[in-house]
Amino acid sequence: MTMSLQNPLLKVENLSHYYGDQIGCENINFDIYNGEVLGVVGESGSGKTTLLKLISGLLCPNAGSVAFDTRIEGLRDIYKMSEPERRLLMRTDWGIVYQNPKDGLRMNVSAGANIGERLMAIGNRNYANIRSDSSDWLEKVEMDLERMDHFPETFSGGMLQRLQIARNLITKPRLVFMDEPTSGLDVSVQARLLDLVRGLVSKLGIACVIVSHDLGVMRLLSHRLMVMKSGKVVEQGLTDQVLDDPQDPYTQLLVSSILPV
Amino acid sequence: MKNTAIEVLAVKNLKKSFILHNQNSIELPVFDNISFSLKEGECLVLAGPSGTGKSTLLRSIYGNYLTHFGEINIYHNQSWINLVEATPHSILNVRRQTLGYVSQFLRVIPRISTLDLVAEPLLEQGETEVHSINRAKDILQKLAIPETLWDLPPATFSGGEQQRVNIAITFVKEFPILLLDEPTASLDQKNKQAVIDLIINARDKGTAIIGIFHDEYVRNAVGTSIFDIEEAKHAA
Ligand SMILES: Nc1ncnc2c1ncn2[C@@H]1O[C@H](COP(=O)(O)OP(=O)(O)OP(=O)(O)O)[C@@H](O)[C@H]1O
Ligand SMILES: Nc1ncnc2c1ncn2[C@@H]1O[C@H](COP(=O)(O)OP(=O)(O)OP(=O)(O)O)[C@@H](O)[C@H]1O
Ligand SMILES: [Mg+2]
Ligand SMILES: [Mg+2]
Repeated sequence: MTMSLQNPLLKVENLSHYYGDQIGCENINFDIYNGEVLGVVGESGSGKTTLLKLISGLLCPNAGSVAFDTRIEGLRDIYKMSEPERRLLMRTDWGIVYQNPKDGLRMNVSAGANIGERLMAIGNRNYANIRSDSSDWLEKVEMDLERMDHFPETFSGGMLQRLQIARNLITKPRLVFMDEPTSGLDVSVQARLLDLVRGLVSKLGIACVIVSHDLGVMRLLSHRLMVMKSGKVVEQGLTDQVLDDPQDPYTQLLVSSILPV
Repeated sequence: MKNTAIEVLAVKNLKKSFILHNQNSIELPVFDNISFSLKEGECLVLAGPSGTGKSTLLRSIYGNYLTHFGEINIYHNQSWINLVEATPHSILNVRRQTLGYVSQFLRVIPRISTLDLVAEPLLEQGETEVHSINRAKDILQKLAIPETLWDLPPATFSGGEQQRVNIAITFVKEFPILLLDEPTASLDQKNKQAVIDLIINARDKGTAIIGIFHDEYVRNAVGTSIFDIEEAKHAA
């Protein structure tokens, strides 16, 4: 993984979203560069999922902009693109791993078909190749090949998350969004999944935005950390700096209220 | 050592204090008006009693602690950058290419073998797998980590072994500037000597070093100059 000094991959400016009177998130600013992992932490209801949806093309913001470094035309506001353009980006350059695997998988088709779907969606029609790529990815996420033809319904929580990851990474996206990818999994499964994510991300040089409330996970996985409270970013910086020398009262409380990380 | 050594780091009027918001926002001043500079091939020893802020100064230079007043100028990529004002993105680049730091304790991802952990910094900067693994083996050997441990994650290693793995992860690369926080604290005499040799070797090749060494023997062996924080505070 080499990190360049060039343009950001994603540029978020003054981003706000409200649900009626309720703040979803407000006035958010940050950049992400190639190969960088950005962690987002904050208490329940602080706006993490809202932010992730806004920056991944799933929720149109009330104000502000989200620009992505497109391969051909450079930085472009994703909400000023046509719907088909945005959909293409979502299927190729981006990946989204949902907190609830049922939101990110098709439960009524086989694991293999889930993994191969994005290849088909971008026009790949050679089924033999799709199948062999899919089984490669099943292996990369450390799953048994015999699972290829099984339906997701029969999978454990950890396996479903692996399947989501394989399904997303098969098109070699440049930016992956993950919302609490390990919540609801038991601790040892969490640790393995995180190792897997980290290994894949650093080998492939993929940039990543990961939402989690686990500061220990963030210390090991993310380069930079953003702390949210009541819809606002109260602090952002290098992950180790935010955790070891937090500046904001809320971050100081958050860091001191947990075991050493 | 080179005799026309050039400056690679210059700290000017640096101040660090901690504000404890959840304890009535009291301000804990650590130091103020700290200035010094560092040249290639120099090993500057930070001295001063416990609690004066030696580790805090190293961490501030590394960007692990945030500073707001003063300058930390680093020669990086053929030009000077002031880390006090740099973005996190730039600091990451400085850390990747220019500034290495050995902290007192190892903190790594679980489940990854020692050999892979040590090879990773090289792989990250684009070296080949073969080269990276060979370099990693070489440094582990120099630090006398038994070969039987290389394939294991360091989580179960002894304190001294973990410390040497920590040193290996930094020394596997050739950083122009190194920050060392008591790298020999929990080592026996033989292993201490291995670390001293590594430090001297790097220093004589031109690496600029700032170190905290409580052990007088180590300090005398590697140090070329001394900066006493306590004295600097009173002079300021
Ligand atoms: N569709 C919606 N309609 C109305 N309010 C919403 C909607 N989605 C979220 N909210 C509100 O917006 C705020 C932020 O919610 P969000 O889901 O972004 O929080 P979060 O940080 O992801 O929390 P958690 O850690 O519990 O997942 C909350 O107060 C929530 O109730
Ligand atoms: N993250 C932090 N938050 C608050 N105070 C801190 C923090 N880190 C250090 N300090 C305080 O800063 C002062 C200097 O500590 P530091 O660890 O730099 O001393 P030191 O010179 O390295 O001491 P020693 O020789 O014992 O290691 C101490 O009063 C310490 O409590
Ligand atoms: Mg959420
Ligand atoms: Mg100290």
